[in-house]
Amino acid sequence: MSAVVWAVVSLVAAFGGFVALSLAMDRHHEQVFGRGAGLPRRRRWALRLTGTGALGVSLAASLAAQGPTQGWVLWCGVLTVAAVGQVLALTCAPHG
Amino acid sequence: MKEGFRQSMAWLHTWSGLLVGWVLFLVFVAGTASYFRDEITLWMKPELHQAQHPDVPPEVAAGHAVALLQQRAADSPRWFITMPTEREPGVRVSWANPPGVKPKNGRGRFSSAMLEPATGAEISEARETRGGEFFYRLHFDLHYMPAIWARWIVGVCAMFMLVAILSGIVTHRRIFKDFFTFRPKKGQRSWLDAHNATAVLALPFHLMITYTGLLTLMFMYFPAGVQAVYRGDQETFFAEMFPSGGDRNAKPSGEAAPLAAVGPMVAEARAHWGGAPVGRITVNNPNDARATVAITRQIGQATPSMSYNTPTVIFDGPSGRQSKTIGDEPSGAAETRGVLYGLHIARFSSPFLRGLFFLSGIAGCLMVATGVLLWAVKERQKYAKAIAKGGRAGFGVRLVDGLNVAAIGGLPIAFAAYFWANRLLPVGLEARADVEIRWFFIAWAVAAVAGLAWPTRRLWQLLLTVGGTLLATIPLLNAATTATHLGVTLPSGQWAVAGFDLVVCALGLSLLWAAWFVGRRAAKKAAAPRPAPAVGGEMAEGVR
Repeated sequence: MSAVVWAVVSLVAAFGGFVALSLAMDRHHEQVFGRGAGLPRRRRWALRLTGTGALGVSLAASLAAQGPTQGWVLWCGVLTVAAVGQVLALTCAPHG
Repeated sequence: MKEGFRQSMAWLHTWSGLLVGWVLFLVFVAGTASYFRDEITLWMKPELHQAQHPDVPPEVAAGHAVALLQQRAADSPRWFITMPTEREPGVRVSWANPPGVKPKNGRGRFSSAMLEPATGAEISEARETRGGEFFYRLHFDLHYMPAIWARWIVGVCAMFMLVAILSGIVTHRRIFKDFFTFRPKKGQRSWLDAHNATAVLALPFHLMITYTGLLTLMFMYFPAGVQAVYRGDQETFFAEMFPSGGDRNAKPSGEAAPLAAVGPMVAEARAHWGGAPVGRITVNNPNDARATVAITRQIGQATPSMSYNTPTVIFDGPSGRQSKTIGDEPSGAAETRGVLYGLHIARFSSPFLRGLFFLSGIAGCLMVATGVLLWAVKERQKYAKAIAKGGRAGFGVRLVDGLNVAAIGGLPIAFAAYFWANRLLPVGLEARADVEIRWFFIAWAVAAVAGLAWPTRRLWQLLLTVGGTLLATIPLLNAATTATHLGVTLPSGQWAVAGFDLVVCALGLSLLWAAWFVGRRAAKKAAAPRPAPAVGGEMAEGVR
């Protein structure tokens, strides 16, 4: 696959990872699923693991896109943009 | 330090950020724009938009360049040829004017020309403009002052920035808990959230760009090491450290000797670097028996290295034989500096990565802007009672408010004025490039004076609307003054020109959105049941 495709994969994976990680937090879980929608322990850990795993996939895709040195630079940029994207998503469309 | 460590850091963060905030805002905005320096320059030279640039073998392009230089500048002491890149498709040649020659198309000691790489024909009809180069220089040389002063000013501000970032990390207690938090429409709370989000989420970028920014001028800010080893002889240090142009001080022999063909040298240099492209060719004392040709590797997407150091191959001019290679195995220290420098300039990056750098840069601009606005919002609350009785806020708040409007409200207008001047001024105008820059500063000065005089919510709304409108209508301006509007550039895939139109338009629309938001809040306040004092100096609160 070309470098751009890997970079986009990395961005999508990072965004997905941040979605999962934010939903594992009480405040944002409430924002999305409403008050009273409890967050069971097992679900919280599943979300955390999924989120962390997705960030790992994002790193791998970044390294595949740009090589083992510049890949890390790409990953930092991808993380920033994905996290800002998730902040805006939670702000603009809290009830997903 | 009577208070705890965190309070001290909060104090340090506030003042190190506020005092230099407005200079930092300019530096951040100009630096962010500089990521697209070549694309901005291309957009500002519409005569070049339609040029076709097929892939030309570099040997051929270099041959054309030398032919032109032989014709124009055979007796020049030094020639420079900058080879085409994927971002700047023309061949740029420049040459040092022989002593006593003052041509009309030159900036002081040097003259230059731009060539079509395939044919060697001169691309002469492009209008005179500094283009993106102006923003690049503005980023660290400012303007209307000697560069050395500006670099010290910018350096001091960058050092404050580094202090502000580090103390900000200590001050922010809930980096991970508040990682995704933004609570809009809550006054000071929202400003703090926005400041935290833009700072924390792009923190790797902010730390990197501030530190590497200081490092780009490290020989100026920290000269002691070089002074000690070289006993004050910086010239020798630079000649040994950065020999990419070959020996600058080599004297001509005075004996004429024809220059060997440059094409084979280019091919040999490329082969030496495993096929990496050629960046710049410097010919010292052309047509002399002691002529040398220095060929440096290109910095850019096509080269695997992030480093800003350029390996060089030097050839003997008359014979065309390779005489030495430089920088193939740089020392650890040199390579560390080269990579950090390279990270700051980001010339190595692919278009996608460049876009991410640009977005992180915008996050930096917003971080600085929300920081200085937050100070005013917080400080004004101390005067809330006085303002409610019809009094005024303190002098400090009014000054900060004024500077905020001047910098944050005024700078977009200045940028827009620069782009509009590029299209509205007559093409053949005398000193056109300088007049464009004057438009930038006049527009900014008007906005700044207005901001300092009436730092009110209405003025915020006005400036944001003017800046937003001017930027959002850039695609229309381009369509009205050139044949390469979005309807042409999008279907034909001219992404550099189309991208400029689209990005600037999007930035303009976000400013218009901000202006609408300011206006809505103002209207709400006016309609509120308790009599809202429409007092100057309270506009910044809750723009979001």
